Amino acid sequence: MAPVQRRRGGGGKRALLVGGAAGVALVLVAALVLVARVTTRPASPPPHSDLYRPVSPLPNAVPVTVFFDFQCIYCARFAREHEQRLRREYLPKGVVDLRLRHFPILGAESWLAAQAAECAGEQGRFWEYYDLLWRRHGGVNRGVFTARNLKAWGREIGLDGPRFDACLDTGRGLVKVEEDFREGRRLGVDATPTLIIDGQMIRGLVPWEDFRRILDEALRRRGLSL
Amino acid sequence: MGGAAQVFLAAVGLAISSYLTVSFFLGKAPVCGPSEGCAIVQSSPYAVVLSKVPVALLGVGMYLLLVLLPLSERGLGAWRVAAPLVSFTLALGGLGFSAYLTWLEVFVIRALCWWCVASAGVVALLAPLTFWRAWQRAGGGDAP
Repeated sequence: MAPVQRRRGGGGKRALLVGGAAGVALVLVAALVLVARVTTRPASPPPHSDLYRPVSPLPNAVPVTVFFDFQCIYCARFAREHEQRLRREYLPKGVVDLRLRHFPILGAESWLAAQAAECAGEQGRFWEYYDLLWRRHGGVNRGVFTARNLKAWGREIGLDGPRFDACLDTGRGLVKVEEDFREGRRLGVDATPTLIIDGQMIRGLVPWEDFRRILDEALRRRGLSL
Repeated sequence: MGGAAQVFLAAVGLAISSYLTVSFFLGKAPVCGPSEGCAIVQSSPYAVVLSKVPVALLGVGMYLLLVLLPLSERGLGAWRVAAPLVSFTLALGGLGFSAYLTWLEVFVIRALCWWCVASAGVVALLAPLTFWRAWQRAGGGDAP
C-alpha cells in the first residue's frame, strides 16, 4: 500500500504545479485580452454622421452606398467629380439615399483619417472635414494624414480642438469605422471605391456617364425621375 | 529531445514574429502572396496594444523566452522544475492570445495574415510539448 500512496502524493503535487501554471496562463491571457480591448475600443462611440441629406430622401429613394478609403486616388476622383454632381443634382430632390462607408485598406493613415472624419462628425462637421481631407489627399502613407496634420486641419475648420484631439487620441471614432469595414467585408468588398447602387455592386471608378446611366435606370425601376 | 524540439519551434516562431515586428516599424506590409490580408491586419487598430506596442513584439518576447528557458535548465535545484513550468505558462498564454487574435482576424477584421496563422500554428504545437515536459519534470522525472 505504501508505494501506491507515495505515487498518489507525487501525482497530486505534479497536478497542482502544472494546474497552477495553466491557471497563471489563463490569467495572463485574460489580462492581455483586456488590455488589448481597452486600448483599442473607445468608451463611447460618436453618433453616425455619414448621411448627406439636404432634404430627407423619399421612401423609395435609390440607395447608393460608397465604400471608400481617404488615401485612394480613384476615391478622391469619385468624391471630387461624381459625388459633387450627385450632391448637386440628385440629393436635393430626395431621389437618392447616399450612404458613405469607410473601407480603409491602404494602411495606418487611412484608418487615422477615417477616425478623424468621424471625430469631426461628433461635432456635427463631418462633411466639411470630409471635403477638406479630399482636398489634402496626397499619396499613400506618405505622412499626409498624420495625427498632427489631422488635428491642425480640425482647428482650421473651427472644430473644438481639445475635444477633437481627445476623440482622435482615444480612438472614439473607431467604432463607426470598424462597423463600416466589417459591413464591407461581409458584402464582399475588396477594393475601393466600391459602389452599391440599388443592390448592384460596381467595383472601381466608372465614368460619370456610365454611373449616371446605372443610377437613372435604378430611378426608373423605382418610378422616380429627376 | 523535447527541449531541443521546443528550442527549434520557438526559434521558428521568433523568426516569424521578428519579421512582423520589423515590417511594422518600417511601415511596410509583410509579404503575403497575392492576398492583401497581411496589410489589412497589420494596418488595423488591433495590430497594436497600449497605443504603440505592436502585438508581434509580444510574440518576440514570448518566443525568445521559450528559446532560452530550455537552455537554462541545465543547472540543478528548483529551476529544473520551474523552467518547464514557466515555458508551459508562456506557451499556453500565447496559445490563448493567438486564439483571440485569430478570432479577430476571421470575425472582426475579416482578413487573414498567413504569418500570424503560422505563428498560431507554432504556438499550438508548443503548448502540448511544454505541457508534456512540465508534467514529466514536475513528477520528479527527467524531462526529455
